[in-house]
Amino acid sequence: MPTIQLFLQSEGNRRIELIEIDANATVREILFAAVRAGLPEEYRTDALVFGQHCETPLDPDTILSVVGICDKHRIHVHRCHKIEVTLHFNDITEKLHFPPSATVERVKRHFIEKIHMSPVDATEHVLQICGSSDRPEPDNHIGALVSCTCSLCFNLVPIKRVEG
Amino acid sequence: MEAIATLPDERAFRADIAAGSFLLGACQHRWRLGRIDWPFAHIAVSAAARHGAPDEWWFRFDCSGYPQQAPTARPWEPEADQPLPSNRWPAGRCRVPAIFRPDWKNGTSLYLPCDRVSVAGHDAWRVDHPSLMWSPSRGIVLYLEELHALLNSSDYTGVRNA
Repeated sequence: MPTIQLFLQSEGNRRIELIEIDANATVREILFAAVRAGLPEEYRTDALVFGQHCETPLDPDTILSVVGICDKHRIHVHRCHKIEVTLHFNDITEKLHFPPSATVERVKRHFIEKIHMSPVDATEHVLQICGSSDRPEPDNHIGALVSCTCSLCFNLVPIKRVEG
Repeated sequence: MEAIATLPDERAFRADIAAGSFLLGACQHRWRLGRIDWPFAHIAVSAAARHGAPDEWWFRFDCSGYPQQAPTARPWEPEADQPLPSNRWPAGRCRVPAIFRPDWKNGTSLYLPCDRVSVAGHDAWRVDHPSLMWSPSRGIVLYLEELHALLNSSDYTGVRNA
């Protein structure tokens, strides 16, 4: 039976796990694999599986290849359908909604478009979690940044030059 | 078969480069692992296209004491297996030249808060750049992510003296 490897991120956990699964498995079996990789047991029944570019969770009874999940693809397991993201920049505030599998980079890109920041200026700014100095990597899934809640808050802040 | 004894730091490093975060970056062509001659690891980091510049830059990381101790890295020339001459280092407008400083420690370390050599004596960096401070749990990917971000920023202009 051919197997595939998938990069898994999950609710409230930034660690990226590499899981191996039967290529002809159903989406539901990702949840079983995720529990074997250390996620809480209740995720078998309570959690949802998202593909990298999916706006909605995948049907748990569908075969992976049918929904386009192939070797070395990224997936996300979370209990929220959407994450409400509040973004601040100077006196601007926006609320946007994304699936938990959206990356920090994607959230930033949407916000940059909303506030009409130039692409050059955008590369000199980064998203920082409100009330902290935590700047998650652009490649992180936003669902990995929140647990037991479906909302998240970022400030868009300039990147400081290293000096001193 | 003769067993090859590895030290704890090398075992930890090899475990990290076999883990999801490093492999995902490699899969996305953000970096590429080269030769490991412990305690040295050679890793190429991909860069945005710039006229006359390579599409990836090689670095030699000294990973002694990994992961409790941060690595220290310098630009490397893989064909000649020697340090990259400073006139061919990455260049930029503001943030990039602040990191790639041939005048700092004779070019043996990058001027980054996550670099073992450079962080010494820079206590203010803990406050000014907390997200760039070394974290054993994030490991080598932390250093690579920062290099990748710099070499793909609008600040990066290509090669010195290009």
